[in-house]
Amino acid sequence: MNYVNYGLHLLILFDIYLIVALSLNVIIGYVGLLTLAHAAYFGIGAYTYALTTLLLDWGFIPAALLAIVVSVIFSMMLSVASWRFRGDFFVLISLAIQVMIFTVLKNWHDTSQPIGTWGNMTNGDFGLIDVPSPNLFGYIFDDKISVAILYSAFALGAVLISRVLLESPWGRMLRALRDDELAARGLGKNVRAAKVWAVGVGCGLAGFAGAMLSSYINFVNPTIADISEATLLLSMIIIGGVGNAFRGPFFGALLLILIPEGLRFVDMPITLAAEMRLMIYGFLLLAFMHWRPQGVAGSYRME
Amino acid sequence: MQVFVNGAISGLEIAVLGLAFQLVYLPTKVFHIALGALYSAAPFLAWEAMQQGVPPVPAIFLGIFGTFLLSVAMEAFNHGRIAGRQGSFAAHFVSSLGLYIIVVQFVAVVWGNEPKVLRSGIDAVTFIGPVVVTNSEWWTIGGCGLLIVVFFVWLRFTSVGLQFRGLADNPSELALRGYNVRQLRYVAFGISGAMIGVASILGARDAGFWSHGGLSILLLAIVAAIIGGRFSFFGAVIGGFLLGLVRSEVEWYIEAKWIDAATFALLLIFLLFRPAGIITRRARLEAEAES
Repeated sequence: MNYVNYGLHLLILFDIYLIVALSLNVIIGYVGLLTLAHAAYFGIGAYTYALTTLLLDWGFIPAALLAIVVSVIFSMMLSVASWRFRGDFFVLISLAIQVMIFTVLKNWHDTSQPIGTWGNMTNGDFGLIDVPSPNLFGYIFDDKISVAILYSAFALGAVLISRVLLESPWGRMLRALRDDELAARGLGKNVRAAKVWAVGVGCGLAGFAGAMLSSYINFVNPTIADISEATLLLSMIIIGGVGNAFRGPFFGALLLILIPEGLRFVDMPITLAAEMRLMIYGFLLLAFMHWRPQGVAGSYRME
Repeated sequence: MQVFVNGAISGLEIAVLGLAFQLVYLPTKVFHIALGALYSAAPFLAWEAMQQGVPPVPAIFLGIFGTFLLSVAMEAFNHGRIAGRQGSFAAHFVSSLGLYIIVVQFVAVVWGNEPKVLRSGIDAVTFIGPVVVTNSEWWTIGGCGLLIVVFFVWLRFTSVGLQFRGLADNPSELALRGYNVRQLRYVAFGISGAMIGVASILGARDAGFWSHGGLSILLLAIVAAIIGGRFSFFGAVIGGFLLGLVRSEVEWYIEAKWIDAATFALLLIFLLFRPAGIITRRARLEAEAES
């Protein structure tokens, strides 16, 4: 039974990170914008869900929808910046957005005031506890089997949405603007609107995945949006590969889950295993940039 | 006055960090994220040498030499090869991120995650009127100040310095004129590694060090280089100094926890309204518009 629970736990995490990978794939693989801010949107979704369910007693669907809406609104910071900047400048702007959102999540607290008030919105490093499990149509998904089924359905939905969007004429236009923005503009395409939509879709999906994570682990704290998490998400998608609607994100999420789990079977202390996990990611990033810039199953070469 | 002096001293240190970043970025266009890992590694190398019985001064030089070698190795085995096949900004950036992760995790695995100190006991202080300066701050003023002066003298008055400015200005033309661009790239990475080593050890002497402290410091270096002027070595110094002052004022008049937000808000303001930074250069109108 323990093995079943363990397997279900991995499946749930895989579902969540598959959605994050799909969302990052839209921005990096289709629009060609290397962003370090994705963890921040993952965090915004998680906090929005946690606050609305804890303070306003909202159900899963309205709270998750609000998480998507808030993430999409904040994504304008990134997409409007992409109108003017690409390459190193865009990465810098995404980094600035990442640090500022993380700082707000970490510092918007005051121990003398109750959680959710203007003076203590996020509870700082202590985070928000007892975030409710998913609750749909009166049924509470608080055991691993039901959560795994629900989240697998969400992941499947996200795969379908991603596939339909990215293989439509809109997806082809995104690829065109990634490869030659000037030519796309010359052909009369509204590249600014396309970027706003694409970044919005990517960040909205990340926000939804954040809501799923906080409702699964019943907890959220600022580490969900820190720079290490941002680096990890970027590593996941680059190693898995970008530029196609499913294969690259699938392998990226799979590796993100399997590498730490594989290390569990090696006889080493937990803290050392965490360092080794990141070191393996570092080696993989380096190796892929030299010998396989398109990642395990990507279609777009990052070189 | 004390706030201003603290900001100026911190600004001097950020100026050296910014200069170290700019030294690689300007001539090679490589976003040298792995510099953050070198910042983490330098004091550990010196500390380990001291644990093995090496006296403090040679141990410090060993630490600096270690970051010099690591930085040159990064060019030799990574960025040089990617540049050789005309790799994009993304390829350099991602591989440098990989190098950063590898070195930092290696440092954490070997030496652990606990903070360490390079000096023992309470730091001595000097009173200059109402201003207090610690011994470590005097070392920062002397070390960073000297480093900046020596670098600009080298850049301005030596033939390698002239070639280096040429590389930063137009690497293709420099290569066409027969200069060894590959060798100059090694110079850039080497000096940058040594500079970050010096700044790191001075910082470690003042406030201690730990394995994951490099990235936040590197981000300061990048912000300094960008707001100072991304086409200028001296811009990084100006940017670092300005950043040190701003951070000090925010810490004093607002709250220390908002320092990073203020730093990156400053970066956003510059990127949106003056992307070329404080020190800009005159160019053809279309080139200026692009920058």
